[in-house]
Amino acid sequence: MSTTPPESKMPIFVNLQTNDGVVHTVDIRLAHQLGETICGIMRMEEGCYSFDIIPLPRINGEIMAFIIKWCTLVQDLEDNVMTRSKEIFLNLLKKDMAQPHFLLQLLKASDYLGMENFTAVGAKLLAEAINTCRNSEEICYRFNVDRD
Amino acid sequence: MDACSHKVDGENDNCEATLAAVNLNVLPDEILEFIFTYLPPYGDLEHCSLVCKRWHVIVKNLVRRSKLNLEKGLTDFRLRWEVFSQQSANGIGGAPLSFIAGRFAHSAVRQDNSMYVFGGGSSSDTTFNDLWRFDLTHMRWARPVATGTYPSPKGSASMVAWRDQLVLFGGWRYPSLHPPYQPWCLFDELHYYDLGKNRWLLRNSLSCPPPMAGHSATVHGDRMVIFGGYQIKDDVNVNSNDTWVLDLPEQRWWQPLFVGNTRPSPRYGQIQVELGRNHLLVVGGCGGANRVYTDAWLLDMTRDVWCWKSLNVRNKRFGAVHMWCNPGCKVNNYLVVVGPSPNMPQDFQMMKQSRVPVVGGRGPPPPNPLQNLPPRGLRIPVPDRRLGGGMGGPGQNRGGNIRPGVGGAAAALGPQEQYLANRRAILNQHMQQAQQFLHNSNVNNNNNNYQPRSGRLSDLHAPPAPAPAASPPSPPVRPNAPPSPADGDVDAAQRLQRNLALRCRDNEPRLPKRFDELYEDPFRMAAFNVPTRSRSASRDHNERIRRMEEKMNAIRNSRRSAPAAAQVEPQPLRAPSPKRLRCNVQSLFVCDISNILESSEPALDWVEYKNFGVLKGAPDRLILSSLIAGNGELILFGGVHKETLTDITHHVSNSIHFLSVPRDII
Repeated sequence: MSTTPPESKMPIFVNLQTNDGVVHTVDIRLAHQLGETICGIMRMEEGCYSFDIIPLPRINGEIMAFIIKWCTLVQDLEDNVMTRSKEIFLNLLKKDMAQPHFLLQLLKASDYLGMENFTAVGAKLLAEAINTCRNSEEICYRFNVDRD
Repeated sequence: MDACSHKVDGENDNCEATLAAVNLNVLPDEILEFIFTYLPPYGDLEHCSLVCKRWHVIVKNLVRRSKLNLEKGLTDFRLRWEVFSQQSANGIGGAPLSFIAGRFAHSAVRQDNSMYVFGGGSSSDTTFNDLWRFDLTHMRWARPVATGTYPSPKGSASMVAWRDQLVLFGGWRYPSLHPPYQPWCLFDELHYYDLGKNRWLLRNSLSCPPPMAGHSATVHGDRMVIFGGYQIKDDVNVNSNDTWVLDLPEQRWWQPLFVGNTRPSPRYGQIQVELGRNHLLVVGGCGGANRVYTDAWLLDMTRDVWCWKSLNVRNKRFGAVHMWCNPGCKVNNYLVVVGPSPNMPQDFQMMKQSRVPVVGGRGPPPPNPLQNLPPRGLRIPVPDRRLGGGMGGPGQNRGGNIRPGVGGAAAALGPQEQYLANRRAILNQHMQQAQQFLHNSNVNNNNNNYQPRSGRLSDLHAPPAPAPAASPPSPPVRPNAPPSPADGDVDAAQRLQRNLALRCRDNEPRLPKRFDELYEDPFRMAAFNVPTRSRSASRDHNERIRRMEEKMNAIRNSRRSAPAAAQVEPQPLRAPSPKRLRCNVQSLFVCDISNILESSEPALDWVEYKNFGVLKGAPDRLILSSLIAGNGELILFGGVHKETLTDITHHVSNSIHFLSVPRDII
């Protein structure tokens, strides 16, 4: 945990604690990319000490790590080109050899955080997956949805 | 959600590294809806809606929302064009799929998740009679193998969808080349196409409408109502304002009775949309030479006796102008027309200027043969009407005499000369282009050849009507004597009528196929003897001039004759842009038709456009294309470049343009 002198208004790092107790330290710039929720909390916390921990009870540590990794890679992109973010997303997924439900949890998390780009990318991936199904039966089968 | 998360846990135990173990119902509704917005809104979405109740509700919400978004985008002009060109798509396995050939004046209709396209004019002087289906789900052209009695090859037939059939009526085709100079061939064939059986059926009924093309048709319940069109009545080709109704199940035609005497003027090429089971709306259309309509009529079919009602059109300055060769379609509460950009209305550019730049551009320096004439400015700027009709304006005269003020040489100027001068000035800009073209192809050509064009025009339009220059909001002041129509005008009018009826150069006595006759025209001014020159170049040039004439006459005569229903609204003055090409795109015009049925004073409100209706990715300016409504988007197909209509091969398009609400492209 890093500390900053109490006089500085803008903390340099932000601490995020996920529901499994792991604390992630992220750069302030990155934190801004982490969506509306965190930004909102940080705005409220302005003026407080930086070593305050922002709790994120709905998010898993694993997911948080993934998101942070993605943000680090994406924020270097000049113009937030969606296609490349999608590729990055896919690569990261493959690297982690993520389980399929991981994607769903990622989507839930990004919705919770309010990260539009991330949600868009994830949704697009899922849409493509749905698109490959030729009819509704296949969708039911693939995605384990009960027909009613 | 507990049950769902329980399921997820269950999956965790035996999950595989594929998405097969995923349960999408884990996600909240909004995310699911968001995912569905990325699906093409046709077949795939339908599949999703069948999956489970929850998804069904989500999809229904999504469809409703996308409709609202499209409407909102239409009023805010916040939409985007995307092009689909088959050449870029390939079939599975890399083999190129067969795709449709470019065409114009075809019929297009949407049924289920496909767009059906029939017939149309081709890039050469033929018409098609093939039926193509564009699968919107897979974005693929397919050609159904149809049996039965094929319709004749034709264009501008009306095609509507009814139950699971397509109903095709009318149409035109090019006349055969021998014997020459035949009039247009119009059809009165009625065909049904059964989509399930892929079969064409020809239907004959005792009382049948006359052969027609360019009519419009809509389906109301079990009836198809057609109106207008260019018809053959008693062996004469004439525009009509008749209404015919086809009883679709029984395949029987009948004509309704009308109450009252008001009817829309005879026209073809109008846009007809269905407003309900008992109402339809007719907008625009062309009544022949010099008559392009922008009015709107409502047909009330509730009672046994039908009734036409003229609608008030508001905000006409934001309205589309050429609604006879440009497609339109209804999107819920709006009527959408795609047409030429208003700030650069192509052929009308000359009409709108008060100052005509007279320099000859980079071509060979334009000489001033008119110096042979009694002193008149060669290139006099079109008089600025706003200045009270005087011949003011510091036009950039190049070598011609600068025209003095109103009182000065005006006395020496008869109306004829002034008219000539006006016309010449108007033509100059056009000539610049032609000059460029001809300079590149005929270096030896003396520019004297250009001047006779004006001579010839004055020959045609002998009455010294004042050129309808910049049209200010106030009625234009005409300093000249009122024009007296002479033979030339009538002749021109007849000729133009035939021209506008979809390219009838065959039966034009003045314009035989090779436009030879033009050169033999006796010119008023003997100073302009026309040396021979390359045919093709001048043919283009002549055609352009002729078209320009038509347009000028259209504006001038419609204002002069001004029948109550035929108001061609003068366009606001726009400064000429140095780059014509930039604005050679289609623009969107949106009209609010929501109040027509409810209010007692129904009216059409054109929505004020932004950026002249030019949206991102707009397609090229084409005429006679087709526009249909898709799911949350509009689909534009086909069309021809107007300027190429007189060439040997017309430049037709076979690409599809989708107009939709923009979203981030991932």
